[in-house]
Amino acid sequence: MNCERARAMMLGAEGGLRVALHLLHCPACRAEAGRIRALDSALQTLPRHAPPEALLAKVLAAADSPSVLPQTKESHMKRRVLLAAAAMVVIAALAAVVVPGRHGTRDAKTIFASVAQAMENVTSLYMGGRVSGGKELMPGLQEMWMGERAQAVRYYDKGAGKLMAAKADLDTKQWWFYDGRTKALYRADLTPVWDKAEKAVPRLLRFYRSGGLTDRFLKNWPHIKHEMAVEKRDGGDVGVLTFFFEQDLPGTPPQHVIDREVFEINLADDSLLAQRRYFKYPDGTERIIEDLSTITYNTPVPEDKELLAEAKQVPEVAATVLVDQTQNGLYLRLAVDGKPINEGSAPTTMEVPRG
Amino acid sequence: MDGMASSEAGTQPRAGQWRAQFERLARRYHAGVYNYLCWIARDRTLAEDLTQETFVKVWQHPPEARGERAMKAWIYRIARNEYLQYRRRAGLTTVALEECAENAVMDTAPAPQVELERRDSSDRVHDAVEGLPDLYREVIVLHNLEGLSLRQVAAALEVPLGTVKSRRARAFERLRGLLPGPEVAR
Repeated sequence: MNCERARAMMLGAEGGLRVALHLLHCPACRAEAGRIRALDSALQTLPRHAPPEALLAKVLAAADSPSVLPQTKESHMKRRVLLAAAAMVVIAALAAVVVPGRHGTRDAKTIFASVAQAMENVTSLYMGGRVSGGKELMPGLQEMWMGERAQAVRYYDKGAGKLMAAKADLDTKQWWFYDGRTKALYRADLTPVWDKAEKAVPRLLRFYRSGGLTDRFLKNWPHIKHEMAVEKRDGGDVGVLTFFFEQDLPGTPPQHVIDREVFEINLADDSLLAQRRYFKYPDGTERIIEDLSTITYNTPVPEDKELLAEAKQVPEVAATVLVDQTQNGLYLRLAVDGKPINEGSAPTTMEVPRG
Repeated sequence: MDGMASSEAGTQPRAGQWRAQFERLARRYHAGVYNYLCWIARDRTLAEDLTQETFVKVWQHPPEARGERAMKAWIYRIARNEYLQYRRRAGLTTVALEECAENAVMDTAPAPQVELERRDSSDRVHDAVEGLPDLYREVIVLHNLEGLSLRQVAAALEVPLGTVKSRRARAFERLRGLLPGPEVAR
């Protein structure tokens, strides 16, 4: 983010993480932020004009006047019908423009199933932006700082970050999860959510690009733990943003872990430079399970036809994601028929690791 | 006009409910609406009249299931429309804000010494805000004095949120000269 944008956001009373990160490394904008706050404070000292004592009585008298009566529900309804009719015309016109083409679920199934088959050696995945019909609907949360949006899901092998599978042109309406314990693939149908989202594509894009997604996410989930820092590097200042989650890892037995996700953001252009992910296990050990030290986007990767063929044999079960808040941040659990697949595995005494 | 009082007996509880809700709204917002109109209309008497007109409109239009935030923005929107209607009827004549400000009363009453030290700065801010174009001034008044969020201000002024933000930004650009040296944050 450049200073001009940061100052525009501050003047527009837009705070949020992106501005906060910028202020951490920019003394000039910190000074400007101070001036804006001072001006805001000064404006609080403006005189308020106290109403005459009799004003309230006069105002209330309106309600006691027989000649001034509230409108009936019927007259309200008539007006609302007219407004609704007008709104329908506008919505119909907009829908013709913004609703993108629809995709079937076959692609998503084969993509994720192929990964499920190869999952024995995969411990983590990186999910990039999600697109439908060539149009971005809502970006993946991990992408919210990117200047360029990924249009693929990529799966990396254990440790070295070797690419296992990738696919562009995703179906956003089906989310798939692989349970290593049961070797089953689960599906969460988000069709209603995306159908609604599609109608708001332009607004969502503006929202995303303004950094609002991050801010809204944190606003809606105030207990999510996050930290910010700025590091001086040769190429310029880098913002380091860390989110904390906890979750159950599928397996036998399931393991409950604290999930620390670190994003490095180039503060000059908001691009995501790197992403690292750590798990802290119940025995207190912590290890890195994902290290995408160099982020690249839209890298074409040939599909593995053999894997795709095998993937068709993978069973599918409808599933949902349960989200709770705990002292360690968001607690994400996969559930089938409302029952968490790793129920009872979660100790609540683990502490968020630092440093 | 069809009146709620003349409708079927079954609607009376609704009317009674609205009466109680109206009174609560009037008590909560009449001072703020008056203050806003005073700043915008620059005429205390006119502001008083328009405040009454505003609440007549509020009384006449019982809202259906509005949240408190929406209700607040709605009331200020009515107030603004009343003012605009007045201007259309009367032309664009306005009365100097000083006439209104002479009778201004601070909500809080600081100690005399504190007030003395503060007055100079406060007067400068006051004069500067008064000198703002109407479009910018009303955003400042609604947001900074009346405590409406920018989203509520947008609803009250019936403009997009981005417009409110840009008006606020422009107002701040004009007011930035008010303050001495920059204060370093963090």
